[in-house]
Amino acid sequence: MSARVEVRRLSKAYGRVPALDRVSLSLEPGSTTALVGASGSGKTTLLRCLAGLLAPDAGEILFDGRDVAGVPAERRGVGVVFQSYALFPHLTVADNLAFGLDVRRTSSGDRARRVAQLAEELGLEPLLDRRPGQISGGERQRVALGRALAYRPVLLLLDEPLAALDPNLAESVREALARAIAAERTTVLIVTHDRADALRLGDRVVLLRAGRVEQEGAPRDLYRYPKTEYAASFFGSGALWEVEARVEGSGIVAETPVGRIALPGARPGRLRLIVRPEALSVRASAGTSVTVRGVSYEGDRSRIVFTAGGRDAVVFGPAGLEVAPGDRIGITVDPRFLVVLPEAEAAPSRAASRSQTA
Amino acid sequence: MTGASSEQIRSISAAALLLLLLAVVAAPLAVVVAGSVLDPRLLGLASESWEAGSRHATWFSYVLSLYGRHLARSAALALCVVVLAFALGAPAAYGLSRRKDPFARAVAVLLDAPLAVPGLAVAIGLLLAYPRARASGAALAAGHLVYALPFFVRAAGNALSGGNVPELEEAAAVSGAGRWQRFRRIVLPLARPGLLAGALMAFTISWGEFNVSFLLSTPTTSTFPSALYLTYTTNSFPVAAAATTLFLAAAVPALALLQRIASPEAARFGEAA
Repeated sequence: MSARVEVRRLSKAYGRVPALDRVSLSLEPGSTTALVGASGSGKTTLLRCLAGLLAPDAGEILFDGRDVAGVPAERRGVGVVFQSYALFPHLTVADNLAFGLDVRRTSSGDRARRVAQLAEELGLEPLLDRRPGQISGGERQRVALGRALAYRPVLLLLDEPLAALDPNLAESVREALARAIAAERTTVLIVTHDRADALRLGDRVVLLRAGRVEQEGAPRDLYRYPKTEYAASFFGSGALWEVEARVEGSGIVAETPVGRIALPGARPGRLRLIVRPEALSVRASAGTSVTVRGVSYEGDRSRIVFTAGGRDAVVFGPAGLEVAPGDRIGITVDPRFLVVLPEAEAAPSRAASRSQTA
Repeated sequence: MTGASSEQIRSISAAALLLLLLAVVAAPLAVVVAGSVLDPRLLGLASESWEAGSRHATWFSYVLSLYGRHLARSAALALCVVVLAFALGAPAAYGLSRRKDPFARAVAVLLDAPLAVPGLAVAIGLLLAYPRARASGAALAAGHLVYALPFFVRAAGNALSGGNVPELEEAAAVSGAGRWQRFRRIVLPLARPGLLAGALMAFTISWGEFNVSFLLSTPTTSTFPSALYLTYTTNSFPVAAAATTLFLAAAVPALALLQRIASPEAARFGEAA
């Protein structure tokens, strides 16, 4: 049974330092939401409030419409995978998996079936009699996931599930995680600081910044249509160009550091453009001529930083391209991949400048 | 530069330390233990009590016939102190390890305060506050507890909040374990070595306690250390030596066990998770 989770204007401060500032969001039953943000943005605080390990100062948390304010952690039916895994060192893998069943006095038949099922799903069968101290980091991660899933939580919370693993291991665990989540069909909230994990694992992505929701939406939308400069820079690299758009004929055009571009759908006036590397292409003998400032070789491509109109921007060149700082190259723009920021972005609020803990 | 490496200096100072330890601790004990088994005439220590003691097979059986009750009383009292220290100290240690407010700090200071006060003052304070508690031995038990408790609470507190026990408790809570189940299934098993070390510490403190006991006991409640004092003041040396040896025989295994248990928990669970 997966719950619909609603968070309404949730606030929490540590002393005088606010960690969550009127955060509202809703998690659809069975959906997977990635909660992403820089460290100190309040992600972990929100997770702890949902788990019942921390009491918010103000606001509400509803599970299927029911306020859980007075419900202690042990009666919320929430599964948590802690960043450090927090496995019980004195219990075997099997007893760790079954912990939530044992405290619920599940019959021994049901217990055995569930442990066997989880062990199979997560590939833990050969390890059931081991202790956490005798298995690898990736294996511990899977035990922690199994322990949180065993009692069929209404909501599964994962705190930086891949942060402690080396990149190769993280890839296989990411797949195992996605499979297990799909098989268990519960509501899932994944806390992560890794934008790639957020975009890959979530049906929805919520970006927190200094205790507030900066933007939420589908992963593609957050990347393609960021509403703020912060969101744009969080989910991808790119230069910010301020341009003047004006009506010309039947369309809107703007003068940019790499020439005049048509901006269909934009409104005339001052605009801010996010120029992602994929909006630009290197041409041998076309486009606007710019000066290369730096090149870093990345194997399958080269990352080229160039200066145009007094601003820096990044473009990816094909693997075989031989350029060096000081060279002139041609740049063309594909306007479909340009991001036009809404004009009225609130000036970086006081929230952005204060120090944070979470 | 001199030729001595830091390695040499370290081994030389270790040897010096060992010799000092032997001279200060082991040698006097060895003399006493030897005195309890050797013929006192060899040591030139024969006296009038030799006659009384000679009716017994050994000095030990003679001491037991004189002070067997004291020995039993000491053991009973030490066990009683262990139980009380556990009952009062484990919850106190648990609370103190979780709370960091002024009240908790005040309790912690209060617990340690008697250690800085002479036993004489503690004993007289107890006598004045609870004059009727002396005859039953309750004052005696309280006096021992005052000294055993801070050590127990320290050992137990480290065990109850050490490592990642608080985080493991949170993991248990979200898994559905209530307060009691968290304590029983997670905290207690993980803290067991520390609690056991604290209990043994309380036992050895009570077993060897003399100051407070001497003032708070009555002839019907006096303990073995008081008896030991009597043997030195009234009996001959072999009797006192035999009593001391008996006393050590009970304390040394407890201390050895304490050393074993106090080794890091990590060794029991392999690499910490």
